[in-house]
Amino acid sequence: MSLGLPPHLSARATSSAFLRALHAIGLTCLAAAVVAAGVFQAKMPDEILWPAMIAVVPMGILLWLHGRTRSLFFALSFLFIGGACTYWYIVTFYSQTQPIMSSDAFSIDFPKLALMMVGGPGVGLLIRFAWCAVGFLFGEIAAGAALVQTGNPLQFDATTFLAFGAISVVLLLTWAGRRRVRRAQPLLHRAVRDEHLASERLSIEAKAAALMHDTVLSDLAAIASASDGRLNPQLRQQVEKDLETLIGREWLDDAPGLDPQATQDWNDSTLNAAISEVRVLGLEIEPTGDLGCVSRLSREASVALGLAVKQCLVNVLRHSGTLRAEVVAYGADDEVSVMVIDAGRGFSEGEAGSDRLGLRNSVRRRMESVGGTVQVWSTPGRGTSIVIRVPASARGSVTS
Amino acid sequence: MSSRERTRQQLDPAGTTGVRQFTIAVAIGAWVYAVVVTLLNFREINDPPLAILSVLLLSTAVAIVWIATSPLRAPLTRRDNLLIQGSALVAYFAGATSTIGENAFVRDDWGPVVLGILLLALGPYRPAQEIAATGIVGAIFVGFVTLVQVRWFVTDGPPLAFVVVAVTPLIAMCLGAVAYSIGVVNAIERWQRRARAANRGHLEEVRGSIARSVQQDRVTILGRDVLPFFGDVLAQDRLTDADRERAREISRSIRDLMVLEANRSWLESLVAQAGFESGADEPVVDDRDQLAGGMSLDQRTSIRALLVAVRQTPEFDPGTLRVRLVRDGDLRRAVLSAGFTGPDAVPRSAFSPYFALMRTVFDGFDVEFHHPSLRVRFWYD
Repeated sequence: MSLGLPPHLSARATSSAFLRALHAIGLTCLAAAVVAAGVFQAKMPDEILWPAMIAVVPMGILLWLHGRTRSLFFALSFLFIGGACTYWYIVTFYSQTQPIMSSDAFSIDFPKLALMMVGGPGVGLLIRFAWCAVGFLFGEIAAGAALVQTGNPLQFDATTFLAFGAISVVLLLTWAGRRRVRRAQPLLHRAVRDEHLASERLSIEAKAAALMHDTVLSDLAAIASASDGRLNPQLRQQVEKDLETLIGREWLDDAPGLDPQATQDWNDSTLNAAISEVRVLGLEIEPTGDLGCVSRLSREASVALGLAVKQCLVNVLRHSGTLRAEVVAYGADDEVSVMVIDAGRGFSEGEAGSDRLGLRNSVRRRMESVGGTVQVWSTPGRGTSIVIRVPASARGSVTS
Repeated sequence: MSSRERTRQQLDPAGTTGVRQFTIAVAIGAWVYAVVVTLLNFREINDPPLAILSVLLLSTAVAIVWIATSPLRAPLTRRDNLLIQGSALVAYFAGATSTIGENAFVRDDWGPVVLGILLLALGPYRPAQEIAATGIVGAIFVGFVTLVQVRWFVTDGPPLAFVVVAVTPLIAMCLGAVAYSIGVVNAIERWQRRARAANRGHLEEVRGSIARSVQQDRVTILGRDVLPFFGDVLAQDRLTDADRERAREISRSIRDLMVLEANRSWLESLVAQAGFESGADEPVVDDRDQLAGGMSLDQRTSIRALLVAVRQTPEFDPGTLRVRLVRDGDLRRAVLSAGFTGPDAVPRSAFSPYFALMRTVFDGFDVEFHHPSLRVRFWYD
């Protein structure tokens, strides 16, 4: 589900992402400081500007280390050593000739801005804001000391002040916005959990309905159409077996101890068993195609497929007027398809026959509960074809 | 529904609604900064119409930010982003051209700062790669325009140093936005992986009890007629006309029950469970073609969340909820309506996180919410 972080994790994640953003901005400013010093040094080889480039390096390393460890030690180291480096950077430039200082192409803001991007350890946007304020203060103190040291007047730095204001607004707005959404998040996360449970229940109910159809309705139909006299032993056996299934055990649980993702080969497959069982009832069935492909199905899907095909074959026996059916299996890369074909009397979609509930519960809903699909083509007098598709593991990934 | 991009907005649509005020405030702040700087440097402007055009184009970019970040229009697309950044870039170019030959200082040009801020503002809405690509294009453009202007700057300095001063704010904020986008997206994806695993574990734990509960329901139904009947048939060992008629009768009643169950969609179960009352002659859910079954788990979850939120609103008028689903060609369209009472209007923002979620999971979505009536339309294929 496309839901974001729950409130207790959201604070940590947003705070951490902000720290990354601050550090990215800080490191870019430091890189710009190095490039700016290098460009001036290349242009003015007689001036001694390379110490400014070196001054920035420890700042970059400490900021990077703080980003990696998020420790108080590296945050404080960055502020104190970075403050000294900023002082060193500005003094280096201000000790040189006046043209550099008066040039619009020179900026002492880069290391100061980087100091402001310290972020600091801990979690929470307000903590980030507090560290930014401390970084801003360290930058201003370092710059002021450098200006005094080099005999220059103190000046108000609008750029750094505006940047500090912008960061403060961003952090405070984000903090306020998160508080508003915090109310909705628990309800959304509960909805996800409830929907999963409801979906699971729906899937189990589909299984139950399919099983009810396969057992109870099938037995009642057999009793209703049985001839007078003694109870057919086959029917008795079937009713006893179904009663045992319905009362005797937890029939909606998959067999305990069995992995639903485990596969079955053709001989052990429920599909093979289903074909054998309906053959006993008198239907002549010809299985063709790539029968081995069912081994690529999970046990759960294989069981559902076998029971669905059995219902299709029982329908042929009961309603089609023919005693012959064909079961064709073929496997594609990520799915297995099984087609049940008969040349019987067919039916129309509008026909309100018993097949419809059987098709719906025992075939369609059952297959949908394991991610499969069912398509039915039938025309009165021209037979019926039912194609069941079910997702399977990719070819070659399963050995039967 | 198209596949989701790796953006905070698409992975956390509800949470991102809280970021919108930040995005809009920051975008407006950038606009104010540009206007103030333009006014302060008005003596440098030698082509006023171009300067006005520049401000208008920037206003367009901010207006697009305002509109495109609305939860009701989510998600903000690449096209929206290109329109915003394109308008801002052209605004910068028009502004720079309006002062060509007169621009004295590089540091008081608003362009790079504003372009950077707009990238930062869209960090929660667009993928990191796209933000980086947009930032690189912007930086190259700003660098080129700065290089052209170097000859008119009043102070001396290496041209490359002017370029560094010009492009650094843009690159820094671009990389900040990239780092934010990657950080948040990774955190959300990590949480989603963990949540999925925990959810699977929870489902495994409760599956048995759900199965037992469903089985108990069935056994109760069977215990009324079927089990005694089967017991009688097996005990007497003979079948009579009466038995066959009884079998047909039980079969019919069970079949009717199963048809009723099969026709009942998850949506009907949900509204019944949540306690929504149906009208005298009108059901809460009108889904004649059984289209609700075609919704994905995400879509169902978003509707469940909205319905629960509506139900929990004290002003909600019980009995006014209606959901209607109809087929329209290949599309399935739904209308959800609800009424509210009371003197105080329920703010639209009360449901914004749920609207944002629905907007993301459905192919189409729109909402009319004028107190006292809420009307949500959405569609999917």
